[in-house]
This record gives sequence, structure tokens and C-alpha cells, in this order.
Amino acid sequence: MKIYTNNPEVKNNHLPVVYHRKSCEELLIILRDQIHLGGKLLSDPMPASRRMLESPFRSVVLATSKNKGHPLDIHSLQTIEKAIRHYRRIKELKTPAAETVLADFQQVDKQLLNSTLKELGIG
Amino acid sequence: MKLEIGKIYVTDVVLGEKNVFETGRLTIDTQGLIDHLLTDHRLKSAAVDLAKPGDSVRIIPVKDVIEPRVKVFGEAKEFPGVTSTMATAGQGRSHVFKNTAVITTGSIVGFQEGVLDMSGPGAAYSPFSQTINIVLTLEPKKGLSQHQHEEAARSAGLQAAAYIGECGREAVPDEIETFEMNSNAAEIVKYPALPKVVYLEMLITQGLLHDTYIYGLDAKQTLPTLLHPNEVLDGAVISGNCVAACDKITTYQHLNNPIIKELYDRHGKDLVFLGVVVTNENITLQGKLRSCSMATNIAKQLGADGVIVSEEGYGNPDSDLMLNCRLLEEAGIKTVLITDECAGRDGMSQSLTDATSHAKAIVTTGNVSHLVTLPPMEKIIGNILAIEQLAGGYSGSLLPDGSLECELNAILGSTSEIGYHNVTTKEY
Repeated sequence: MKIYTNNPEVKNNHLPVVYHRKSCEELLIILRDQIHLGGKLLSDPMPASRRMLESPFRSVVLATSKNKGHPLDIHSLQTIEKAIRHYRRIKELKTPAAETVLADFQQVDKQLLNSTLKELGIG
Repeated sequence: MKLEIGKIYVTDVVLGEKNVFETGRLTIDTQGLIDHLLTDHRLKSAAVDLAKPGDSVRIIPVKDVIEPRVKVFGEAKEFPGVTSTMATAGQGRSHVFKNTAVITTGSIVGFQEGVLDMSGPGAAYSPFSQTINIVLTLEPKKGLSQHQHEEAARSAGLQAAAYIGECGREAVPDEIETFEMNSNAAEIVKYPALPKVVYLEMLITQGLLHDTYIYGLDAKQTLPTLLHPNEVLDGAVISGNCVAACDKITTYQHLNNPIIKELYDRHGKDLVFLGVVVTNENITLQGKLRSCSMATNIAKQLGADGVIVSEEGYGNPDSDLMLNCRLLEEAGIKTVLITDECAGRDGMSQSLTDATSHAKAIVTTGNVSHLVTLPPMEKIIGNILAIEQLAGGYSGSLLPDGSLECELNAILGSTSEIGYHNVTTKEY
């Protein structure tokens, strides 16, 4: 299990973290590649509201496999592809989030990740 | 189970020195209310304002809206499991102040909560622009975590609604609405030829600022549960989220859920209403499958012929909505979905983030991306900086004359996914 994130607030989690200083869309593309290599999504890459799509930060939990011959998880692939399509679509409307709220976006992403980890029994 | 809602119509609210309700006029002991709220040691200060329909007032950021009410008789008191000890809601009589609402405001984070205008074009979009609002501006003590701040604000709104509602205990209601329904077994026997319908209410349950509570229990820690419709109408479900102003289900909307009321109206006429299944919207994919599977199983066990599903939020909850639909339809249960849309400013983009070919009947409650311009208001209640923060994302922009150009997304209650809102649909 690894946390894929572009949120600096999540970088130092006690669980394995893969941090990329990239956009959400780029982060999701990295996740898609990992799914093709045998990874399986444990959490949904999409947020739960239009407003949270403004957030430049996203943290997603992926089950990783060391087996090279691990079968492709189709549901994970469909889910990540949908999310990438959606992030691309809204990108046209998006303007950068105000500096004043960046820290809040980081905090809420971190808290939502904590809820996810708790639900997975690893938080 | 029998619930009487004694409706007391309020024609005016004033801030005064004692709590009185007389001939439509509700006077609130302002200092008494503040003192009551500040018994919560997490709060540093509380201020009370009024915002009436037609006033040049903008409230931002809005956290929750609650209808003032008091339990006159019955096992439970107001908001059991939260502001009073646990007991089953939905029985006895509650007196409710209509045309008025308690609104909580105060920034927990800078970006999420919504705007409510009491006049101008924005007022047409929110049902809470038409209520006389008692607005609480709540400031937390320093060092409080966001979780603690959210909990204190949520509690303050409910406490205030119960405190103000107490003024209606001895009042003679203008109207009494009765909600009575026996066990499903008894009701099915009465109307054997009618189709049996379950209402599946999806609740946002994902973490900080994204939560809902059932009898005080964080619903993300629950499995789908069957409630008697009266329980929802009498305070069993509490909003703890301020994610999306347009489609969050405020506590007020839970208390007045129009889907439940419509199903009640039609019970025994053209359907048998089997009750409300409340279910959560998880972040994990396994959690989504677990809750949707169990909600479907409950509907099957109840013998439902049809299920009406309402969503809360947008984005990953669309996956729960579609999964619920697929599993229910595969079980042979006809399913209708109620959701809003994020269809782009021209309304031409794909509305939802997920889809299934099983979704054959969907009711839309509006396009959250629809653009509106809100002229400046003379008075701001809440946090004036929140307007700039709202304008910082793509939800809005501040125009040179002080007007706010924003999507419906930013307006409280504009596209309610349970249909408690003002927008209607037009067939072309």
C-alpha cells in the first residue's frame, strides 16, 4: 500500500508515500501507470464536491503489487480514467486557487486521507 | 408511529431581552441566547444578527441552517443523540417555527462554504432567502482544531434552534400536520395492489467538513440503516458538512425532506411507502461497494418494487449513485435517481462523473455550473474576506463594481438534490 500525493502536508506520513510536486491531473496519470503495472485503487481519486475540485491537492491510496504478472484491475483503470477525463474537462474553467486558501486545501486533503486510512484500518 | 408537527407561522422576528412569541412575532432574548451558546467552552464569542427577506444583506460563509423547534410531548427531545439524550425521534408532537431559520456562519476553512443573499437576483436561487434568518456568527477559541471548530459550530446551531424553539412550547399551532404510518407488514396488507417504494437517501460521509450524523453517530462509521420516515422529519439526521453550498443537505432540509413528504402524501393512493434507508458515501472503493450492496439488500428484504435514490455532493458520490442504481436494477427493482448536474456553463458537458446503462430515470435538480451575477449588498454578515476567497477559485470572480460573478455552486441550497430548492426544470 502506498499513498500517492501532491500535498506537501502528507509527505511525512508514517505510511509509505510517493510524493510528486505535480498537478492533480499529472498525479492521476502517474497513478494510471501504476495501475497498468498491477496497482489497485483503494480510495476514489475524485473528491466529493465541485468545490473540492478546485483543490490543487489530492492524495490517493493504492495497493501495490510486487508480482510482475499481476492482472490488470479493470475497475481501478476505469475509475482512474474517468477521474483524469473529468479533471481535464474542468481544467478549462479553473483559475489558480487563492494563496490564502492553499493551506486550507492541504489540511482538508490531509484530513480526508486520514478518514480514508481509518476506514481501511491502517490509519 | 405517529408524529404531529405543530406549525407556528412567524411573521416577524426581533432581538430583545426576553423570549416571547405573540401573534406571529418572535422576540429572542439575545444575550440569553449568546450566554447559552458560550457555555460551550470551545467558543470565544457568538454574535446574533437578523437577516430578513428583502434586506440588502449577504451572509457568507454559511455552515448550516436549522429550523427552530421544540418537542412538546414524546419520548425524544430535540435532536436526540446530539442536543438531548438518545431516544427515538418521530413520535409525539413537535412545535416548529415556520418561515424562520437559524443560520450558522464563521470560517472553518477559507474555501468551501457558500453565500446567501437576502435580496437581488441571488435571492431567487435559495429557499433560505425567503426565511427570516437568525444568524449566529461564531468565533472559536485559539488553538481549536478544525474538527473541534466544526463540531462546536454544528452544536451551536442545534442548541440555538432548540433554545429559540422553546418559545413555541405553549403556543397554539396555526396548523397541525400528522405523519402516521404503522409497520410495513401492516401497511402492505392494507394496500396489497400498490407498488412498494423505498427511499434511499445518500449522505455525504467522507471526513472533515464532509460528514453527516444519525442520532449523533458519524454516519461514515455506519452501515445502511432503515429509518421510519418520521425519524428523519423529527431530527434524527444532522448535517455536518459544508462542502458544496448548492447541494449540501442542511439540517433544515433533512427536517423538511420533500421526497419523504411526497411519498407520505402518495402512500395508500398509488404506492406503499416502505421507509427511508439512509446510506453513506465512502471514499474507499470497497466501502462504496459494501454500502451500495447492503442498501440494495435492505430494499430486497423489504420487498421493494421501486427505489428513489437521492445523492448528496458531486464527484465520487456519483459512483455510489450509479452503483446503487445498477445493483438495484439488477435485483429487479425499478430505480429513479435524483441528482444535480455539473454540466459546464453552457450546460452542454457531461453532467455526472459516472454513468450506467441501468440509469433510465434521472431527475435533475439543476446545473451547478450555471453562472449568475450577484450585485454588492449593503451589509455582510459572517466574514467579508470569505468573498475574496470565494472569488479566488473558479467558483467566482469579484467584478470592479463589487459584484460577485459566481456559479450556482456557491449559492446555498440552489440545487438541492432532495428537491428542497427553487430551481425548476423546463421541457424543450
